This record gives sequence, structure tokens and C-alpha cells, in this order.
Amino acid sequence: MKVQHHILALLIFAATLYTFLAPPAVGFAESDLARVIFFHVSCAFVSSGLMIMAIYFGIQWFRKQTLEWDARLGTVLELGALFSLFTILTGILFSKVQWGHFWHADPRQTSFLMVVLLYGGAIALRTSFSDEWKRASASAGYAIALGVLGVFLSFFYPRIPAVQQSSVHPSDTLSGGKLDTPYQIGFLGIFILLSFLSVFIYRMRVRVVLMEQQLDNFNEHDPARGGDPASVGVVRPVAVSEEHGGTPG
Amino acid sequence: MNSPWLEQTKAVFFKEIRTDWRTKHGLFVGGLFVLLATIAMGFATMFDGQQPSPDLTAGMLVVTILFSGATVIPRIFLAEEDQGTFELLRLFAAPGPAYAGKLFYALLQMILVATVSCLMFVEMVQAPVVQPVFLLVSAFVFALALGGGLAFASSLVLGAANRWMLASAVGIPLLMPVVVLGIICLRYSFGVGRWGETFQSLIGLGGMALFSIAIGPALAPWLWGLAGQDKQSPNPNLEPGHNPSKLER
Repeated sequence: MKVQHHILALLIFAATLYTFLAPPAVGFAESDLARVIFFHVSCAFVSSGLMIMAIYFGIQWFRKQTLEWDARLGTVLELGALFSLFTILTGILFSKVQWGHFWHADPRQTSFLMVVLLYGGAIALRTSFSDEWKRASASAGYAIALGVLGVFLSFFYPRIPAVQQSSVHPSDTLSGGKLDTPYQIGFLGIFILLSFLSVFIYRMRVRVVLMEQQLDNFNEHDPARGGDPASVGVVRPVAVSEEHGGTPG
Repeated sequence: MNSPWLEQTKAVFFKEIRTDWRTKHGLFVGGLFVLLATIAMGFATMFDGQQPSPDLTAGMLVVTILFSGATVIPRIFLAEEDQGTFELLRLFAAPGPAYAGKLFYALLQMILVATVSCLMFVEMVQAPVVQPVFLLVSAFVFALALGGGLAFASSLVLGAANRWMLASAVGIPLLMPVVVLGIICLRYSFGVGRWGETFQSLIGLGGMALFSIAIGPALAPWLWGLAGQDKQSPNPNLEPGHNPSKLER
């Protein structure tokens, strides 16, 4: 194992230990469960960051049009869907304990549910194409729309004054310095951990996808595996002019 | 003198009108679905014996228009591929104008769907309309936003498996914010809500309409430029023998 794997394992161990050792929070209906905000807020931040990366990779696909950018885009969409799902699930759990209902019809909850559905649409879109190039172009177009809407729903909509007033979800806990020091440490530590973890999974996943594409490409050209060696390259008829030895038309 | 872009767009737009008017099949089936959806939604309050609240009326109307549109609009793009004339269309018009022509036809159909749904639904549930002009204005803007979003989603799923269902599965998450803004606008027409919040929502709806209408023609050259092409990978990273252990830019 490489050094960074050991570091990651240590970070996971430390984060798990800290989660259990952090003191119960004050002002919550279930003070021990307040620790879920370490994961809830961190996952939300990570999924928002992945959303912005999806916009970038989508634009890069349209500019460069290589399958490597599609591999990166697909990975980012998958990870974003995963982290947004974790965010909404931890939020639902917290909502049940803190406010008495799994679903509170809170504007913040609703807007993030839309983000989860956007990611779901991206996954559904990617799984529906057998042609990798069509899948790539469709995913890139969708990713740009997803990113623009997702950024609005995650960052701007919850901060509209009318929405803030009607929401029970706090929006100034971090910016207003309302977290105690132990919880600030816990949130920051787990956010850094999840960021490292997502980068680690991202690199591995992109590597796997590229290797799968390489294997498919190899199998297509290997007759022993049912491939067609003549499929290598595209032969186009070339018109040869008379001065270069061609026959007159 | 009109630009070639505009000429091609007009040609595609009138082609859509003539095609649908010649067979009338799509118009009939789409129109029938709109009527059935509106009537079925009207039955939802049949046994209550009372008029639904303005909020519920607005919500039910928006849902009716949404699902009617999700059935009618994808046909404009997907039927072309099913009939095998999509490649022919790309020979005669550039992707941008071809998309724009179909988009404008989709917007026209969506305006008709919204108008018919509004008039029938209001009559069926006997909802008192306090602001009739605003009802039409907000329904018009809502229809533009829905039409643009559904047209974009339909263009993304060309070439996919189960594309008729996929167009809705991909389009409706993109349109969730439009649905919420539409409900806020329409409820004001039925006498509920504050003007400030409603006006902001109407502006937001208009912005989303502009975004969804603009993004399609801008991305169409890339989305449809690759559709149907037999493209070999130009990326040397994907050639056999290449070591994918390092991510390369």
C-alpha cells in the first residue's frame, strides 16, 4: 500500500474516534445525534463541489471531445449522486429527531431534494446509451444544465430572505460562528477526510473506466476474441488527380 | 435579407407544422391526452363536494400542464428519429437552426397545452379566478419555461434506450424549480400570496425560460454533431499498450 492509503486509513480511524468522543451538543432535541451534522454538512459541501466540477468537465468534453473527459464527468456525476444521497438521508434522520417528521416540506430540504433528483436524472441518462460518444455528449449537455440549476438551488435559493424566514433549517451556523470549538473541529476534520476520500475514489474510478475502454478497444481488434482486425482505422476512397498518375474521369 | 440561420429555422418550424397538420395523428393523440389529464385531475375533487383551496388548485393545474407537456413535447424530437428522417433533417439544416425550429414548434404546442388546460381545469373545479389576466400571463411564461426544458431534455435522449420514458425522467428533474415557481405565480391568480413574492417568482420563471430556450441551440451543434457518427477514438491514451496508471491531461 502507498503512503497516502495509510494516511487515509488513519484519518478515517481518527474521524470515527472523534465522532464518538465529541461532547453532546446543547440546544438539540437529541443532543447526541447532533454529531450527524459532521457528515451532513460535509457531504453537502462535497456534492456541491462535485457539481461545479461536473460543469467544468462537461465544457471540457465539448471542447476536447475525448473519452477521458467523459470518464471524468461520469465519475464526478456518480460521486455527486452518492454524496447528495448521503446528505439528504442524514438530513431526513436529523429532521425526524429534531423536528418530529422525516419530511418537513422545508424549502431547504425541498431544494436539495431537487438536486438529488437532478443527479438521479444524470445517472439514468448515462445508463441508457450503448454508444459511448452519444452518452458522452448527452451527459455533458445535461451536466451543464445540472450544474447551473444545482448551484442556484444549493447556494442562492436558500439565502433568499423570504425562503430563509420560512425555513427551520439554519443557514448561518457556520458563517455566524454558532458552532462550538469541538464541533468546528469535528466538521472541518470530516470535511477534509471526505474531500480526500472523494479524490481517492475519483482517481481510482477514472482509472478503471479508462482501462475498461482500453480493453473494449483491444477486444474489438483481436480476432481471437471475436474482433475484426480490419476495423482498425477508417479507409476513405481518395480521388487521385491525373498529374499524380490517376486515370482520367 | 434574412440570415441562413433564420431561414433554416423557419423552414424547420413550418415543416413541423405541415407534417403534424397533414397526418393530424400527433395533434389528436396529444390533444386527447391533455383533455384526459385535465379531466382526471378534475375528478380528484369530485367527491369532496367543495372547491379546492387556491393553493391546491394552482398545484393541481401545474402538475396537469407538466405531465401533459411531458407527453406532447418529446414526440417532436423522438418521432423524427423513429421515422428515420433525423439524418435527412441534418443534411438540410445545421444542428442549431434544426433544433431552434423544433423548439419554436414545441413552445407553440406548450402554449396551446397550457391555455387549454387552464380554461378546462378552472371550469371543471369551478375555481374562482381573481386575476384572469395574470393567470394567462403566468401560464404563458410557465409554458415557455416548460417547453424549453422539455425540448432540451428530448434532444439529449436521442439515440438512447427507452428514450420516450427517459425524456420525462431526465426532463422533469430539470423542471422542478420551474414547477415551484409556476405554483407560486398561479396561486396569486386564484387570490393567494403576496405580490412581491409572486413578481419575483415570475421574473425567475422568465429567467428559466430564457435559459432553457438559449441552451438548446447553443449546444445542439455538439449534441447532434456527434449523434449517429461512427467515431473512432482520437485519444492516444486509449490505444492498446498505453499504461493508464497515470492520468494525463
